[in-house]
Amino acid sequence: MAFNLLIVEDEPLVAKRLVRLSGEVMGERIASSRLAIDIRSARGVLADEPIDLILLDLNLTGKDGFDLLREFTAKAAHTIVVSAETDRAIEAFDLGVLDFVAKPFTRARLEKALVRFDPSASGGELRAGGITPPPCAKQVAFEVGPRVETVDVNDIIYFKGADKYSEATLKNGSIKFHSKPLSRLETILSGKFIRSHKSFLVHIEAIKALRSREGSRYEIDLADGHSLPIGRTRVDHVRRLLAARETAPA
Amino acid sequence: MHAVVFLTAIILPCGAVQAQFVQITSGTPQQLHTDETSIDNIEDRTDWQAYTGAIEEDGGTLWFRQPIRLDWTNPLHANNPLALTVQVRGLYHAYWDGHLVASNHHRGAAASEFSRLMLPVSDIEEGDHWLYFRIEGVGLKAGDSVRLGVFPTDLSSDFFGVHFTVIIVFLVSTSSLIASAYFLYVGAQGTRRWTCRVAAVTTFLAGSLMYLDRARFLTPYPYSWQPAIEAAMAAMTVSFMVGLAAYAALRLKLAKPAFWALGAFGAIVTALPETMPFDTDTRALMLLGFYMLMLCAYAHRTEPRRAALLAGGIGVGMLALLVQPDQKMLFVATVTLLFGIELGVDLHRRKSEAQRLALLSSRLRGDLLRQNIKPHFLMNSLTALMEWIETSPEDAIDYIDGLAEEFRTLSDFSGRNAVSFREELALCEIHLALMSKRLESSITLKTSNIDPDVLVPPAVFHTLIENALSHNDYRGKQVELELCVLKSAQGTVYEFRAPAEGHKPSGLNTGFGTRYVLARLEEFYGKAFRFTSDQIGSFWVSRIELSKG
Repeated sequence: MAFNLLIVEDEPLVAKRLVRLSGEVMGERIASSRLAIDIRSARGVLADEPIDLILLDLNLTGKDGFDLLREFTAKAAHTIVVSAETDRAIEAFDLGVLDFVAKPFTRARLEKALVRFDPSASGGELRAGGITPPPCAKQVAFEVGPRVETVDVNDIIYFKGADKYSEATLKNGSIKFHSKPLSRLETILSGKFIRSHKSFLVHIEAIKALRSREGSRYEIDLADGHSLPIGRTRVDHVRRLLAARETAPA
Repeated sequence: MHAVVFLTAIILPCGAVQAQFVQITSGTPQQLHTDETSIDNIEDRTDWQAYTGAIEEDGGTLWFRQPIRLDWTNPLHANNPLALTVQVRGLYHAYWDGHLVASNHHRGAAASEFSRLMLPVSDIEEGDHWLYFRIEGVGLKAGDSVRLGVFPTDLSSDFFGVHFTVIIVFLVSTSSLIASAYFLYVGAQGTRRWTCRVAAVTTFLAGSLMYLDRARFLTPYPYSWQPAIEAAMAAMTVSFMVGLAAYAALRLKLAKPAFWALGAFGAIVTALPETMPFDTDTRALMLLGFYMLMLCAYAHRTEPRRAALLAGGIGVGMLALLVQPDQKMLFVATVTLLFGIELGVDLHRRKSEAQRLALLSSRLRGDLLRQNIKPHFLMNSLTALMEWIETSPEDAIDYIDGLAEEFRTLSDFSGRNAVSFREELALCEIHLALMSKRLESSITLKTSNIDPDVLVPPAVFHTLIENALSHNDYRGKQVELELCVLKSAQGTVYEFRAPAEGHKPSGLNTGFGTRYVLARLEEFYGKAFRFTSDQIGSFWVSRIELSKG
C-alpha cells in the first residue's frame, strides 16, 4: 500500500539524499514525498495532508528537536529520526519513534529503517535477518487541543481502535484519543502491550485473568474491573503470558 | 625643602639603660672653645666654661669634660667593661683619664649622632675619673649645638639595641626593594600598568630611604657627602609621599589619580608652619596620613576592601608616629608592611588566576576542537560528502580538501592563546566556503578597517560566524556578513553583523559557541572587554568592546 512521506530536514544536501535514497528503496510505494525545511512548513504539511511517515532531523537551524519530537510522535504518522545527535537516541525511542538513523547514513541503514515502517519493501537480506521491532516506548504523546501531553505507558490499561484513531483508557479512569491507528501503536509498544483483539491493544500487566464465555468465546479481565473480548488466535498467547507471570519470581 | 629632611633624627635610644653594676655620679660638665688637638695641653687649661653645647664658629671645635665617680655596687662584677652610648652631632675623640679611648672617626654630623664607647676594664677602677671629648662641629653653624649626651649602657643592648634594630630595618628595606622589583615585573606584563609603576617607585623610595638612613649609622663616609645625602633624602621623601598618595588613589580607583597625588604637596606645605608640637617631618607624615584616610573614606563605597586595607595600614603608621614622633621609620616600615600585604594578596590572587587561566586555556583548547567536530557540523558534512561521493565525486573532493584545511587550522589554533587577524580571517573564509557549498548558498564576509597584524583570541570571529550560520536560514541565498573595527577615544570595538534570516533566532548569548567566545575573550583581554549580541533591525549584531589601557 502506498504511503505519504514527509522529510523534515534543513540541510539541502542531506534532504536531497533522503529524497533520493527513500525513493530508490521504496520505489512506487511512496505515493507522495514532501520536503519541509523548517518546523512551520512541516506543521503545514501535516495539517493538510495524510502523512504516514516522517523522516525528522532533530536539529533544525540550531533548535532542540525534542519538543518537536513529542509533537510529531503524537501525530498519526510514524516518525523516523535522522540525526547526528546519537547520544539522544534512547530518549527518542522512549518517545515512540520507529527508528533512529544516525548521520551520516548509508542507503542500507536508511532501508532498514524504512522496512520497519513497511516490511513489504524488505529485500532478501533484510527478510532473512528478520525485522526487529523498535524498543517499546516509555511514554506516549497525546494531542490535547493545541497542547501535547505525555503519559507513561504503564499508566495506560488499553487502547481501543476507533476508525483511524485510538482511544486510550488510563488507570485513573480517564480516556485520551491518539491520532495513530492501533497497528502503529502496536509497532512502537510491542513488548509491553498485546493485541488481544483486532480492536484492542492491552497492557500485559493489566491482564488479571483469562475467562471463557459461552459460544467458545473468551474474555480477559483487567485490573480496573473491565473485561475485554479476546480473539481466538490470541487465546493461547495470553494463556502462556499469564502462566509465565505466575511462575515468575516475585 | 629643609623642613622635610626625613629621618635625620636617629630613632634608637639604643638601650639607655643604667648599668647595673656601677654606681655613676658625675660632676658639672664644662666646655672650652679651642682648636687644640692634644689632650695634654687641655687638661691644664683654666678657662673652662659651663657646658652649653653651642659652637662659636661654623664647623668650629669644642672640648668637653666632666668628672665621673664610679662606685661598685657589686664587687664581683667589677671586671665588667663599662659601655657608654654617645650622642653627638660631630666628629669626636673621647678621652678617659687622659687616654684616647674612642672616636667616631670621620662620620658625618647627622650620621654619627649615636655611637658606642667601650671603656677597658683596666681603666675603670673605683673612684674619680675625667671624661673628655674633643668635638668638631662639622657641618654645624655658629651657635648650633653639638647635642652631646652620654649614657651608661648595658652591653646586651649592643645586639638587642642597635644591631637588632638595624637588622630589622635592613630586612624591611630589602623587602621593600624586592616588592619594588616585583611590581616592576608585574607592570611590565601589562597588568595594572600604572598602579604597578607607582607602587614600584614608592616601595623603591621607601627601601632606599631606610637603607640610606641606616647606612649612615653603620658605614663611614666622607663629611662632604652629607649635604648631598640630606638633599637627596629630602627629595626622595617628598617623592615617596607623593607616590604614596598616587598609589592610594590608583588602588582606590579614583578618577584622575595624578590630581589626588598632588594632595601630598598640600600636606607638606601645611606642615611647614610650626602649628603642632612635632617636628616638620612628623607633621608632614601625619597630615599625609590624614589625607590618605580621607581618600579611603571617599572611596569606601566603591572599593570597600582596599579602602579598609589602606586605612588600616595608614592608621597603624599614624599611631606609631603619635606614640613616638621621633620614630618616623616606623611609619615607613608600616607602609612597607602594607605594600607587603598587598603584594601577598596580589601574589595569591595572581596564582589563583594563573591556575584558573591555565585550566581555562586547557579547556578552551578542547572546546575549540570539540566545537568543530560537534555532531551538527561534522555529521552533516559527512552526510553531504556521502551524497556527493554517490552523485558528484568532484564536489566531494573539493569539500574534503576544504574540511582538511579548516581542521588543520583549528588544530594549530587550539594550542595558541592569540592569532593574527590575518590568520583568523583566513579561517573564516575557509569555513564560509565550506558552508556555502553545503548550504548551496553564497556567503561572504565583508571586512573594514581591520589591521591584519593585530592579535586576537583564536577562533572567536570564526565562532561568531558559525553561530550566525547555525541560527539563521541562509540556504540557497546570497548573504553578506560584515566585520568591522571601530576605534574611538574610549577604545576599540569589533562589530560583527549577520542578517537575521528565516527563523526568529533563539539568541546568541546562551549557546556553547558564545560561552567559548566569552571564555576566550576573558583569557585574552581579562576584564577589559564587554560582549553583547542583539538583534538590531534585520541584523544580529555582536559587539566586542575593548576599553583602553
